[in-house]
Order: sequence, then structure tokens, then C-alpha cells
Amino acid sequence: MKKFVSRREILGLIAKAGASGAVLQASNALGIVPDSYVDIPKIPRVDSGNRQSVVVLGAGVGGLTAALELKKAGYSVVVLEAAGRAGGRNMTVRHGDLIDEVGNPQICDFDDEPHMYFNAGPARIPSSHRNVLHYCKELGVELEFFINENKETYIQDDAMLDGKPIKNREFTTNARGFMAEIMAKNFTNAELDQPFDEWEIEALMRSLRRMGDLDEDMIYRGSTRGGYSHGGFLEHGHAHETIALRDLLKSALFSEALSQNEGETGPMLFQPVGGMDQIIKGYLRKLRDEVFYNVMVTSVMLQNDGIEVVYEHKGIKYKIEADYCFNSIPTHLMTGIDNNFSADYKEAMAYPRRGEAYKSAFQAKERFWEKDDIFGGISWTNQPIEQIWYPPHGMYKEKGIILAAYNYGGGMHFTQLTQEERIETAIRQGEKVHPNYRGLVEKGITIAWHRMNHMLGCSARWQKSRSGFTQEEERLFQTLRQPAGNRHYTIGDQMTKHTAWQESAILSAHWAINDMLARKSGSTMPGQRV
Amino acid sequence: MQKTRLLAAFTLATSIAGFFSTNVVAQQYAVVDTTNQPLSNEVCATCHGGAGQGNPVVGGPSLAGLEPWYLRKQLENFRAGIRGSEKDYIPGNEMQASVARLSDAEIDDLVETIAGWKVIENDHTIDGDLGNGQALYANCAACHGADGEGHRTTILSRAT
Repeated sequence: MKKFVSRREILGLIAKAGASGAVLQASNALGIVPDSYVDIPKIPRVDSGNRQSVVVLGAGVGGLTAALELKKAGYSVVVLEAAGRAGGRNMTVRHGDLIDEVGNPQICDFDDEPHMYFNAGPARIPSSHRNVLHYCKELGVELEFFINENKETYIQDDAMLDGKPIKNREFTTNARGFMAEIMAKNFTNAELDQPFDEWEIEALMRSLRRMGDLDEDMIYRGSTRGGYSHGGFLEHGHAHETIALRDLLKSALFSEALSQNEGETGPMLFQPVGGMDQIIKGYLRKLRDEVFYNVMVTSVMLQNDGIEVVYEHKGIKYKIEADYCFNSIPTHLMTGIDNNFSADYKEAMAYPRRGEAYKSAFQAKERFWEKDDIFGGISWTNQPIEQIWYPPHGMYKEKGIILAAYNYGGGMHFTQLTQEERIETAIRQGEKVHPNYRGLVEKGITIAWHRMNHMLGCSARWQKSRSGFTQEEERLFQTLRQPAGNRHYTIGDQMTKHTAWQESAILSAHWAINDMLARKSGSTMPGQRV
Repeated sequence: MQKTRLLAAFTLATSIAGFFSTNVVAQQYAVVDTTNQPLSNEVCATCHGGAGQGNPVVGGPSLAGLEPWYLRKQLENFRAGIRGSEKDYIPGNEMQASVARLSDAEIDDLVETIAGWKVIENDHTIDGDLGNGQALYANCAACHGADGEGHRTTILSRAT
């Protein structure tokens, strides 16, 4: 039998949560904003007399960052890349490009025009990711704004209004209005005596908790959504101190802050003009002779005074000896490459789970979203495609590339389908958001990161539980972060507490270089002795 | 062989014009032509280790040292969906997808290549009791041979 309580009783339950929950709307940022800083390693220049050599494995953002900084300081640098292209998960797909999925290779058939591209990996740069922005500046990568949040997009849920899509602004306005109403007043309204059932109570409490980032007891005890005071990438993040409601109310911007992400203003995000891989092209302009492609590493061996890497290229094996190795090969693939690392190091390498993210895209025959007041942003649905992204670039041109699915955490749903099924599923689900979708899109592509050749996974997942690193996980992480034999560094976003971002890959490369310098100078402290 | 032949085989397998022809939707929305594209020639090594020594982290067993006839049988089984189509068995699904489009001739090439790989010792991934195992192996020996050397007539491979 269902248990009913009155709305009045509910209000009693949420009274505490309501009062403080509203505070959190002031820091309305979605997700977490880890602290970042630009601290480019100051590498003492090595000249021909004391020239040192470095072999970098993997030409993604992490590997290229290490290679670039060390080359600038005079190191002899070689970058070995297994694929036929650089970038790793920084991958922009255009006309004629190969999507090298194991068992399902695709060639992109989008129209051959500059704005007809799809960022299959990273696709947005938060303004807080200072290191990515630093390199964009240094490497001459032109940026433009990226629209992430747009209230003109749709929200569609099969369980709501018979699955009819509604504009985000309608949804948000109604939801907030309702919440504000029950939290603010109406305590004496007769309507309050109408019953809620258990499901409604649970849904309401869940929403309130999420809106306010409340704890298990529905009490607000601060939130990392407001950013970190320090840490968050290489170290655990520490939240800012909570600001009291009476302090917030002193500011005239209190009400302004509640609607800051809407209307004429929006979150500050960027994308490179012409595709995310413009960043990779920028690195490669500085590393013209250092990067070698289609090279499969077959062994990495520590030696007394350096490291030996054996690789295969076109059926022939080669050996490189270097002073240091910066290795961004995914740990789950490195475990299949012959090595002489310690048992502890190998154990740590084998721990992280490989990520599953999945994306797909269509070429749109016409920019139908622009006729619907949409010029960027994301529509959300409860279906497995989860999101549809509209390109903020190429406005008013004839066609455009839209993201048709982005399944971040549970991407195996699509990964396990055939290419035909993936495409048909994306069309069928997209039709629920845009009724004429099937006739408007063509030339679908899919990127199942779990099966992409030479990567076999999206970002590494260190944590088995959502509640943070266990002591054991912390031990494994720290073990793998230390250089094996003082010579081999595992790098990349996989070696941070905040995987999946280019910023993380850069910070990891910086950390490894600084650690190498500290050890060379005989001190375990970061930086140089002065 | 002849990575180039294997490369050509993959290219050919994925470019057969009729590949999507049974599916109108796919034809209209996902026309794929991989002719003359430089597809990766190192598909096996990605999962099975840089030298075929296996990689338990991604569920890729050692291939080096397996006999050609056994390799062929397993490739055929994966291609037919007899192996690898168990729901949510990720490594099996991946392997199934990888070989689904191979022709008999391409399987010949793969078997020839892999049979030439030298065995590399990888770390032991299973902790067990050797004594118990030896006792239990008595049941296995009838087919796999007293020393695990294998016995083709019973369609079983070497167990060492």
C-alpha cells in the first residue's frame, strides 16, 4: 500500500534543505572546477657537452607537451606514435579521415569544407584550463567561443509529457518556479493538503539534493561546484570555505547570480577555429622532425643508466637508448608490452579501468536547428544518445555537423552494436527530439573509444567507487607516478586525479619533468636548488 | 606474410561494396568506403601484446605458441559467432567484431603470421596451488597429453 503524506508534511521535511539549498544556486556552475595554474617547467638548458636524450611514447597532448618543453631546453627528443596520426584522443574527423576502430574501420564522408568537422574526443576548453590556453597562445592556435549551455535547446524525456520535447527554458523556468514556490511560501495554502506519493517525494528530495549539493541528511555543508581552493588535478581537490547565506545576501548580485548561465550570458568555453586538432597541429609545427608514426613499441627496458625501447615499423625492429622515457601509452596496453618494471609498478599499471565513452555524429543536410533559434548548445534526452550538440561555428552556412550521441560513462551500450545498428539507433532516438530528423541527417560516423585502435579506451578510471580514492587506490596511483628506476615516467591524463581533460595531460607532463629535474639536482623537492 | 598482405586483407574486407547493401538505412546514412586507406596493420598486437605474449588487463590471451590448426579453429569460431557473442563479455565481443569480416584466405594469412611468433614469458596472472593442479590435470591428460603437448585428433591444443 502506498504511503501518502501531505504537502505540508513534505515542507516540514525540506524546510532546512530549502533555506540553504537556495544559497547554492549562487554558485551555479555545473560540475566541478578544479584549481589549475600555469607553471611551465623551467628546464636548465643542456648543450652539446651534456646533451641528454628522451624518448616519448605516444603523441597525444601529454607526450607532445613533454617533447616540446624538453626540446626547447636542448634535449634530444624522439616521439614514437603507434597510430598513423598524432593527437591520441584529441581527434577531429573530416572528409576522408579514417576512424580506426578495431573491427569497424570507417572513412568519414562529410563534405570537404572547413567547418564540416567533428571533434570526436575533447570538444570544449573551459576558461579555467589555463595550460591548454597557454599552449594555444604559444603555438598560435586561434580560438573562438564554444556554446555549451543554451536554454533554446530541448529537453526530452520519455517519462515526461508523453515524451514530447520541450525547450530547456520552459523546463527550467517551470522547475525553478515550482521549487521556489514550495520553498518560499504557500505554507498555509489549502493545496498543501493534497498528497504526494512516495515516488514524488523521492523525486523531489533527489532534485533538491542535487540542486543544492546537499548531504545525506539534506544539509548543505559546502560544495566543490564553487571550485577548489587548491588541488584537483595532480592532488586531491580541496573545496573553498562555505560562504554564509547572510554574507551572500549582502551582495546585490545575489539574484543576478541565479540566472547567470542563461539568456544573454553563458559559461565561458572555447574551441579552436577549424577543429580541436589545431592544437596538435600547433605542437607538430614545433616538433617537425621528432615524431615517428606507425611505430609499435614492443619492449621498454630499464637499464643501469638509461632506458632501452624496442619498436617495430613496417616489419622491422629498431632499438633506441635514451636517458629518460616519458610514456603516455595507456596503462592497460602497456601491460601487454614487454618490460622489466618492478612487481609493484606492474601491479599499479594493471589497476585503472579503461573508459567507455562513445560519440557519434551526422552531417546535417541543412542547419535545421538555426530555424529553431538554436545556435549552439546541447539538447538533453533520457535515451541512450543522451545529448545532441549543435555546432556554434559555421553559422548560416548550408550544412553542419551535429553530435548525435554522447554516452560518457556507459558507452558500451552503443559500442556493442554493429555500425548499422548504431546509426539507426541514433536516428530513431534523435527523431524524438527533432521530428524530421531522419530526413535531415546523413553520413553518420561513430567513435567507440573502447575499441579505437592503439587506445582501446577513453580516460582511465582509477576509482572503483564514487566516494573517492580508497587508500589502496591512492597507494597504486602514487606507485605509478614515481619514475621506474628514476628513468621511466608514466604520463598523460591517466596519471591525474581528474582524467579526460587535455589540461590534465599537460599538467601530468609538467609534473614528470619537474620531478626529473628535482631528482637530477639531487633533491626530492620540486624545482631547482638555488 | 606479410603484414602488407594482412593490411590488404583488412582493407579489402572492409571495402567490399556490398557490405552495407543489405541495410537501406546504413546505405543512406553510413556509406563507408575504406578502399586504399592505410588501415592499421597491427590490430592483433593492440590487445594480444606487443609480441603476442598476451595482456590480461584487456582480456587478450597469449597467441604466441598456439598451434596453427587451433588458431584457425578459434578464428573460425569467432567469425561464426560461436565464440565471443556472449552478452557483456567485452573481450569476446571485441574479438568477434575484429574477425567478423575476415575471408578464409585472410584467416590463412593470420594463422601463418601468428604461428611464427616466438613465445615470450609474461607474468603469471593466476595464483593457484601447483600440487592441486597437478592432481586435477590427470583428467585433462587424456586429451591434452601427459605433458600438455596437445593432441590434434581430439581437437585440443597444447596446455603448457
